[in-house]
Amino acid sequence: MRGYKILLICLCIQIFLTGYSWCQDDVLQKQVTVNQTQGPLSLFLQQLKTQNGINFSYSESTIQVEQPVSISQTTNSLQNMLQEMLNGTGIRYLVQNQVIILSKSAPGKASLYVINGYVRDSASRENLIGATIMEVNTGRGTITNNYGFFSLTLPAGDVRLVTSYVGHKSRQSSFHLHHDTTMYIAPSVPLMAEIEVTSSREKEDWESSQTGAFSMPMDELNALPALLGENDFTRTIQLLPGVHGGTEISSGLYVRGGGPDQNLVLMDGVPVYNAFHLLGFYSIFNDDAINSIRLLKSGFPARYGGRLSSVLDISIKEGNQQQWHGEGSLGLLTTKVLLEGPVNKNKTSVLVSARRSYLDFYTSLLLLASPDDTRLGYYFYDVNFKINHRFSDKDRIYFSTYVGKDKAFVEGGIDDEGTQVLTDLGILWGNRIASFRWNHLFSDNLFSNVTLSYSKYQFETTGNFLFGDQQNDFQNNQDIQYFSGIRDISIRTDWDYYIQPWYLLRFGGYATFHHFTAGALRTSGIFENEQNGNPPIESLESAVYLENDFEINSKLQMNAGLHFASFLVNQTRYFSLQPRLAVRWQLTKPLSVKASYARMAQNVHLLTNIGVGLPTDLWVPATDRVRPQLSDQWSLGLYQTLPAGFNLSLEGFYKRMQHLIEFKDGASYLDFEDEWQDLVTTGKGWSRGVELLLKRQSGKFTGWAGYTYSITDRQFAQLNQGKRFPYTFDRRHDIGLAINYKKSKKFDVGITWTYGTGNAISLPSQSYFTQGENPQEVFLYQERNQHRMRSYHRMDIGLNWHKQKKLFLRTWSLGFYNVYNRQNPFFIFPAINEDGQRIFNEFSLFPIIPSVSYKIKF
Amino acid sequence: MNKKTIHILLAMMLAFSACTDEVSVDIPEQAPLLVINSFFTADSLWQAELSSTVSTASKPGKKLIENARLVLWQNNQPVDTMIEISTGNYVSDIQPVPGKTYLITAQAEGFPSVRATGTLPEMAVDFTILSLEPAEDLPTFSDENYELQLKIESTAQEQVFFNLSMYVLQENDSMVRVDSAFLANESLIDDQDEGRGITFSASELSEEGQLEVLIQKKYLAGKQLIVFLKTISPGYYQYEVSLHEHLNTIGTPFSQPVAVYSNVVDGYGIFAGYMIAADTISID
Repeated sequence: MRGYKILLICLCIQIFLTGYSWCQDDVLQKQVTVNQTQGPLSLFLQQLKTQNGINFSYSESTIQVEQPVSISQTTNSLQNMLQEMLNGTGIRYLVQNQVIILSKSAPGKASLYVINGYVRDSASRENLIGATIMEVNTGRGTITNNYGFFSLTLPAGDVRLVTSYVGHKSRQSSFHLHHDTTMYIAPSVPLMAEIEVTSSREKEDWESSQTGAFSMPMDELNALPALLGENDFTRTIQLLPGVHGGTEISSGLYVRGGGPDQNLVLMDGVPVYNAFHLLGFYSIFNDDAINSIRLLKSGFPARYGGRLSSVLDISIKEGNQQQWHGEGSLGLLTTKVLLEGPVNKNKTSVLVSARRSYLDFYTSLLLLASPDDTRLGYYFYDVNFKINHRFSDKDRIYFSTYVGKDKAFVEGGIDDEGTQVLTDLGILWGNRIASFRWNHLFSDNLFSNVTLSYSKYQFETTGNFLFGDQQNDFQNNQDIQYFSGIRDISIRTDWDYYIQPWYLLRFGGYATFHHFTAGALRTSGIFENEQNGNPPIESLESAVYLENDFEINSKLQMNAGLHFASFLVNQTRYFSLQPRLAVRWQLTKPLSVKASYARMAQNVHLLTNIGVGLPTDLWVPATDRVRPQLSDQWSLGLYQTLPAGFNLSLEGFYKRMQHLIEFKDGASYLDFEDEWQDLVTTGKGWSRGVELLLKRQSGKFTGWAGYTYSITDRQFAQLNQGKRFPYTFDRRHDIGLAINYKKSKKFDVGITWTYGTGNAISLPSQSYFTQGENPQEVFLYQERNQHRMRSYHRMDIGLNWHKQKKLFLRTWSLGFYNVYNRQNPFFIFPAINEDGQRIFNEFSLFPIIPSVSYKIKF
Repeated sequence: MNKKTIHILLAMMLAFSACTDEVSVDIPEQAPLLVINSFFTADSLWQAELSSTVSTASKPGKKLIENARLVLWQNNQPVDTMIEISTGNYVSDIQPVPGKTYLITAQAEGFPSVRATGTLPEMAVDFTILSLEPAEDLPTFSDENYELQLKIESTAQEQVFFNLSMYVLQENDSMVRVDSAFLANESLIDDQDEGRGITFSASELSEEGQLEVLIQKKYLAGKQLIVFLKTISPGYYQYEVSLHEHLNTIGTPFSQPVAVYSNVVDGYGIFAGYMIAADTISID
């Protein structure tokens, strides 16, 4: 409960401060009138007092009230008038108890003013996350936060601000800075004819202290090859160094030797537990609805916690503030639509998107010829809804929700010796997510956000049976349901305090109430009514964090923080103090060296038989018997910006993981009659490697090429005789290539290629036979995962033709998955051929798969 | 809906074409080891089968070892040297004594010597058949189930292990093994009897010591059902359970392989004792 108390206190402070700041602002927002635009300062002060009731306090010995000042208009807000009037006078003001206090700036020190505001898309007015704002003369810069907000403190004088964002034209603003300034900067999207676009990510690569980060503009994703007509950014992320997908069917993420559960996947700040449709073939994220994505592999800032290996932060679009827009596409497997627009122009906007697959439609067609009434199929759908309202420049609220489900089903009827039985068997899984957020700007340099969220993931296998007689009178039923899942209710608050030009302080905390259902079987109906399996477990996870972003000098930048977390489960409480440090040292102007360290703790575990990320995998909490996972990761790298828009990075890492869990040999998620804690064993993991990345995010050719060399091991007391063994997804060599070429406004092409060392696998070296009437062959495995499958490589190509029609822009996309038809290994098993000889068979999944899709955008 | 069925359903959901190709796998050659398979009980001759492991790179098959020297030991004293009656099959006329622990050693040319220790349980846990009636349970859609109720003289708290097998005495007096049956409380997870009997521990029993076994009706074509209940050692139990899991996990990409338990030092196999009890019920 302590975590909740801290958060409630934070919330109260925020509400109190909100009221306080509104009071402070009242006097400055007051419309005031004076009689002239030029004259001595004393005249203006007198008129402001007598005609407008504004009280001033100052010392005549320090303030030269007779000096001449000027303003542009006689009626204005007090704030604007003061800023104009005091421009160049060396006099500053502050407000205390509705009184304007004038003081002289310290001699010899340049006056500092705050420029803050939001960076928004010029057309949609949507906030842009991660846009760079750079003052050319001083070299000072910043990037917008997750809500598009920025704050930059600069000395008075001429400033030249360059604002840039990937896929947008850079915008330059020059003006004389003599007072605190609020700006709404709107870089524009280039016309299709203007292919040359600029990039803003220099800050990410060599200038910031963040290691292991990658952001990708959605435009770039859309040009990359689609699988069955569906773009999926998780498949693109798998092409990055240090990241891969594990197996052919998976769009899961295995980051620097971590498991699929060790990724903190955030959708608008809310954790998502199962991010995949169709057994991992697609992610649950509809790319049309995504605003931005950002992946962190190391150097995790203190505001993030709860997972060991990566943070994947996904922001859903807010909805166009200016006009209604829509998108729709028709592919071989899915159809999706999106609609966004203003409910109240520049105040309230809404976005809704939906997607559904129709594999079940195909199977229904195939079964039309079938004599019986059996139906089988599979489908998934997902829906995103988001609405936001801007009360003022200082207050904004968001409500967003996501609902998605996968279902595989078999329905039919059986005549069981006179008893008619209607069956409905299914496997279902899906997420439900909702969040409410409130942004408030307390002052020019203090930004806050509060999030209330709900996240639920459930997996079910169901069997519904209806029993009838010869007259088809179905009166009796029996239902069987196996289910597992996790449900979270969470409150979180985050504060960004831009204290000094060189110092950004972030702080906040969260508390999450988890409810775990770790596998249970429920029967109800005429034969059985009972529930077996693991009882639900409830837990409370809470944390507070403090993150300091310093620019100590022009060469040295540092992000240092602490994340203090608590986890309460079954009367057992775990505490973890997680230090985080990231340092950048600029060697020359476009070359820097960075180092980072992060300790991470993970209080939830995923029970998975082999780690392919099946929906059957169980989320379970740390308990008094199974401790939270811990990791320590060190990174060191060189980052350089090259001519022609290229960026090059070389980063090495070493990661140590503790308290990992695995099923004991032979144990399975379906052994629900046993306590899951009896089925697992705990152990350690290590991963170390080097990653090389060359990328380009501007020009006609964009994309990247990455190479990783890494070694990943595991060690469990009760597996492999306690000896260390290679992780199943240990990938020694990994190459990822993604290239976009925008030939013209009408045509672009994307090519990806991936290569990876084959997965580690256990293969029998010897066998023997049992005794008895029916001898069975027993295989002997010397060491776990001591063999390798063949290497994996695959090329995909996507071609897009665009044409601006009268009412909409249409795009035809042609895609080829596995274009040179590589039979990539999925798994290997021993068998005996027709001649009685021992062989090993290799099972491969997907040959070349062409696809076509049609998309419109208006 | 057992484990394999769910895996098959998951695999079907891939719904795309796939193919299987033979591949060459470079598996280092390893020295073969001896395998002892010997289950012993009271009032019976010792019998042991001696074979060796075979590389998976060579032709599969049971490789029996002849001309080996198998010795039985009790209290660190040799009690008999077993005689080979056919290739790889060795017997001794020493009768195992309930409650006693025995050691077997085997030596064969070209192999490291192996040894194993096994204990014969004190006694067979007694049981009676209470009933054999049509099961009031979910139809299996193709076969009707019969429910066999047993009363076993043990409690769920005891560390006792069992292996249950059943035979039907047919009209022509031949015996046919019931090779597909399962415990009622396991019916949704594992078909336990795959030709090796149903292996379970006393924890499966009800508080009254009762056990329900489901048998498909088609297996009950005959005069009598004869039930054998072996009281087995912990090693025997571990061997059977791990063997069952081992066979279940071969050829599936969704689980790691399971090693089969062995109590043979420097080799493989099992050397375990059991005591057996039987009861019979007429099939109506």
